[in-house]
Amino acid sequence: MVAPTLSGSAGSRFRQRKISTKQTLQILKQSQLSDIDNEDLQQRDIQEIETGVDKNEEDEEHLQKILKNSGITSTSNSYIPTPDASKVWDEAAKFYTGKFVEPESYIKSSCQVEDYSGCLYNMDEEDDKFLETFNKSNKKEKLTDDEFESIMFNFEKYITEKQPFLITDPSQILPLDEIKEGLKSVDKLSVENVTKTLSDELKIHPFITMFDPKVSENIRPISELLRLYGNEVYEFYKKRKILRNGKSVHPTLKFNGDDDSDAYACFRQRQFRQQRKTRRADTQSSEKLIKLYQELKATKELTFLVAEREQKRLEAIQVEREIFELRCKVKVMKRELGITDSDEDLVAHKKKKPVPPPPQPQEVKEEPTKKEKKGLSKVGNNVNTQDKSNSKTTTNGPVEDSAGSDQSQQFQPYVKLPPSKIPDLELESVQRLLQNKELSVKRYVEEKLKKRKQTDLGFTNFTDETNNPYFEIFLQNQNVLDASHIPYSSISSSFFDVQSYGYIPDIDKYIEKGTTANENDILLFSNREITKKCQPESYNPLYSENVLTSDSLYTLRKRIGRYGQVFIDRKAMVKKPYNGINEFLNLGEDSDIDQDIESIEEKERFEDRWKYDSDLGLQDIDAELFSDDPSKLNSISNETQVIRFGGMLLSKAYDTLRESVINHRNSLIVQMQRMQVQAQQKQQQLQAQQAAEALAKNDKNSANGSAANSRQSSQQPNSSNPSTQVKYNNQSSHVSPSPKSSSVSQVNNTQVKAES
Amino acid sequence: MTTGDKKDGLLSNEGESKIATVDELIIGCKCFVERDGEQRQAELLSIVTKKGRKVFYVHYVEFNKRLDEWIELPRINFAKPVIFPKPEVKKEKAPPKQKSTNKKQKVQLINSTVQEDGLMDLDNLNVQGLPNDDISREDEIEKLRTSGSMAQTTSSEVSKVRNLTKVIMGNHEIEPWYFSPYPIELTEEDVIYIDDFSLNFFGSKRQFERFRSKCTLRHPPGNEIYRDDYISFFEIDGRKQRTWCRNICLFTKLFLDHKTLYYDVDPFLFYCMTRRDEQGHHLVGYFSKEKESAEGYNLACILTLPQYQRMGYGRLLIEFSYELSKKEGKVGSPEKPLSDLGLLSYRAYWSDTIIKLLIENENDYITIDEISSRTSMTTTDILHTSQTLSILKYFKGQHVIYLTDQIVEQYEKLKLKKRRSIDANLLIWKPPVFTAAQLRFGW
Repeated sequence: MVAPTLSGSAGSRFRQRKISTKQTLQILKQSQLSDIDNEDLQQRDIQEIETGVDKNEEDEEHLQKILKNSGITSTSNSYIPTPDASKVWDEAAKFYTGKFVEPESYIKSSCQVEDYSGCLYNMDEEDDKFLETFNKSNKKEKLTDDEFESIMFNFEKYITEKQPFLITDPSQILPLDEIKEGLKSVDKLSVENVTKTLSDELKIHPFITMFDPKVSENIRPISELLRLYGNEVYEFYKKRKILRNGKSVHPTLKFNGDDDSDAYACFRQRQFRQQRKTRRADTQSSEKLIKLYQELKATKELTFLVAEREQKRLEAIQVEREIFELRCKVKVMKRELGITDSDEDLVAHKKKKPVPPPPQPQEVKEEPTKKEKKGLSKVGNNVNTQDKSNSKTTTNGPVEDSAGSDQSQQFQPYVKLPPSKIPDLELESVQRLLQNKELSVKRYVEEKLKKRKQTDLGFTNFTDETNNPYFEIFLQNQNVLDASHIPYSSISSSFFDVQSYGYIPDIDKYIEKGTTANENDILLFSNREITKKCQPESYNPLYSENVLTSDSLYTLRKRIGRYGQVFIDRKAMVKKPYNGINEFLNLGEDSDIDQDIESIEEKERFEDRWKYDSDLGLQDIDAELFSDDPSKLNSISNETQVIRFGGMLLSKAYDTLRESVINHRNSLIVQMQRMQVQAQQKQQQLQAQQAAEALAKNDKNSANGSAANSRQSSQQPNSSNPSTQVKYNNQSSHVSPSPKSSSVSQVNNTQVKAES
Repeated sequence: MTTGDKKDGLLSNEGESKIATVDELIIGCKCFVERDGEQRQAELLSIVTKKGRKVFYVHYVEFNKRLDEWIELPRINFAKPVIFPKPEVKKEKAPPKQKSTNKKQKVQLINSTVQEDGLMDLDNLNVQGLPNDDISREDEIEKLRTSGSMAQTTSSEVSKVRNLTKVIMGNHEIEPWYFSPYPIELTEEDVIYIDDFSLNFFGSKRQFERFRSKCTLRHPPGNEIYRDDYISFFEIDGRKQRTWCRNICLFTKLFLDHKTLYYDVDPFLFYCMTRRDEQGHHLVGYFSKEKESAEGYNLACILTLPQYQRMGYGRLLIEFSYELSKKEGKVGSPEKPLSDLGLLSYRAYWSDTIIKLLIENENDYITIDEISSRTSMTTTDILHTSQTLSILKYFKGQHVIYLTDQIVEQYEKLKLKKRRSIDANLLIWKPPVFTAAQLRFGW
């Protein structure tokens, strides 16, 4: 393969086939060499040199002609013929108007073509025809080209967004009402809205950017346009859309050709390998996003401040100009009136350097004296100081902000977000999120309560008050060893049996006075047999002493020992548990009698020392005690617990109560009706009897009637009358299931205490 | 070259040859057509009946595709035999496709001819990085996904036929050369309007008018990185200016046959040369460049707009691409395949640059590496050019560079010509740096 080729002229072999790029080559010029030397020059046969042109085109006639003519360039007149591009289009000047101002520095721009293009819908000849006839037939205000385009653009945008597969069935195009509705929701990112928000935030009206065409007509807002012209334009749009088989009204490029060989599909998106998702990468990117968000926010603030500053500057310049013009007028006036006092107020005074903020109050003091003379130049001065303070805030702003952001960043816990959602999310700190959640929970509860109130019209809502209703609670479970440990907070707990509810309308009054409620004021409800009149006990720890309370878990004792040592002993109500040390001491006891006395003494001392140091115990160690509030076990934060539990409690207590009240009333009504019926029947009977016996026994008749009446009256009031109720309660005997005589009252007490 | 040589079916895919009638003509057959008073063999690429008359789209054998045209019946010479394509062409084409999926046929890197010690094989200067064999469509698309903008093969029959007849851009009326995937609806229009600044395209004059009344763009939408009294250059990121870059690519496709628009413009930077007037910066030409070229290309596509061709702008574009490479401290070469016009422009630039460097060199010795580092041209391009110039000779057992009087003369002429050139001092540019994530489109 590597056969050396013969050199052309000398006939000797040209062996050197390879050349090193690092090899030094002498540059020789023809003029430097004699003819003999020329003989020695050897050159490799010109191989067919690869051109880099496509193989199929390399042999093309025009190219070959040029390549053969000269190894170098087409110095000759031969060239490659190309189709014509020399014609000039005369109309161009009509379309390209306006002037370009070349900036001094190199142009910098990052806006996209769309930003420069105004409304992206450009009406064509067909639109023109429609609009012309429409405007002729329409008596309303004329629809301008720009407005028409705005409507069409919005239709097109909305439909492409909502119905990307309209091609499959163009007749399914959304009706106008739906589009109208959809367009109401403001698209924050659309160009029009961005300019609008910016102009509102910056308070610059009208807000014109360098991209806006200079003569922009006042386009009415889209909502108004739709109201006025929506129907007609929509019909036209729909017609065009269906004619186009659901494709966009104006032809667009085809980006997604499923078929590789589709010649008209272009600019396909490259699919790239998905990066492996890891927790770390997720955190990193979320951190990056937060950082980016904060930086952008800071940038936005900065630019806003800059805009504000520039506006102030503009104002200052305008004011200065006004001053100048006024001075000119004064000058003329003075001359006319022949006033020849000093011209000091006509001269533009040098601007006073802006005073640093601290001595500002002094400046205010000085002002009145100089005011008359400097009155005019003052304005500019003030603006200047303002200007400075403004720029100050610009420098301060971001520093504070970044400090704040650092802090917040430190406390950011890791939150996993679906990656697809990250770019769309407005980033919020987790604290705020939790806060919002809590707030919304609270709001929800409040709302619920409000609604309840509405539906409860006519009922008395007991749950409105903290202390009402109170419950008479009995301990159900006989196995409970020490009732004082039962968490009393949950009346719905299975440990308790709620037998009756009491309601005292003015309980607050009693609590204030620290007295027990008058029996007559208490309303008592019960589903079952009412055992006794249950009265709430209230006590004020400051005034009353002998109030029954539950035992606390342990008692504390403070004592002072030698050298002023302070001991705080805890005393449980239980015995010290059995433990290893005891056992060890017991063993010693058995083995050696000599040491008995000592060891007993020691043991006693030891036990004495540990006497107060255990909370556990009771006779039976294995007996299960109540743990702490069970809800605490799943480590839910206190606030959440409160909200959740409170809501639950309220609703549950309320529901049961309400139900019972309703039941009670219903039963009462039924009872009353029944009794009325009975009474009527009896009366009828009596009347019949009376009628029968009227003639026979006139005396007896009168006595009987009064007896029936009295019976009736005694039965009717039943529970609605407290006094009768009390009687009723007192009649029934007290059946308590409690093992200890005190437990019921204790529980009862705790309940009341909790409520007060 | 006489076309008669090929009459007897020297090419493998040519079948029967006979005198035929109009109705026998089919797509793919070759017949003689009159062109500028000359009889040339031409292949029929499309036959369409317009208003009851048959018109034919013909490709002249041995001519570039840009000269393909629609002709009417009278220009076809039925006195000469017509060559019909072999019927089973497709079956024959199938086997090589399977072959080409072999790993052996991976595209060679541009530096493959440079060995480790800097030795280069003068007999085997595979300068171009062109694949030796036909590459399968799938392989090619896969390659395009990761790099490059030039296609070896034409994808379909549709794209063989030019689809637009006239475009108007600025105040120029231009005849397109090749197919370009503008929306298919626009192909029915007689003329397409292309905005001089945004390069947006319109089939409707009214639409164009409306657009012009609103558009405020007066320069390519990027940063100006070079400005002298004659031209300016703008750098535009394909990822940030999708619309504009798509527009320029679509337009370019009208004049660059091998350019592909299969994938999006994201991995490319566009360096656009403009001339100023009171209207704004008018695009004159541009070249695109991969943000990161695995194969050491410093240029992907280059185009001087047809209305500005043969005025020396192409050379300025090429020069500018090497100025960028110099700033980057890299050597580079244009992506292949080159078009015929591209090849001529490049050869001219390469030879002028090398000759200028050699003659103006202060001492009489130089290495290829030095030329390369001073011009940012690849060593293969340098050797390639020195071979076409025949300046690399063998003298007394050593390689020397030998400049003939003719070459020196040419240099003197060139100096007198006072060509415009790029002033590197006016280039305010730092090579853009992209993170891996920003370049992820490459994978």
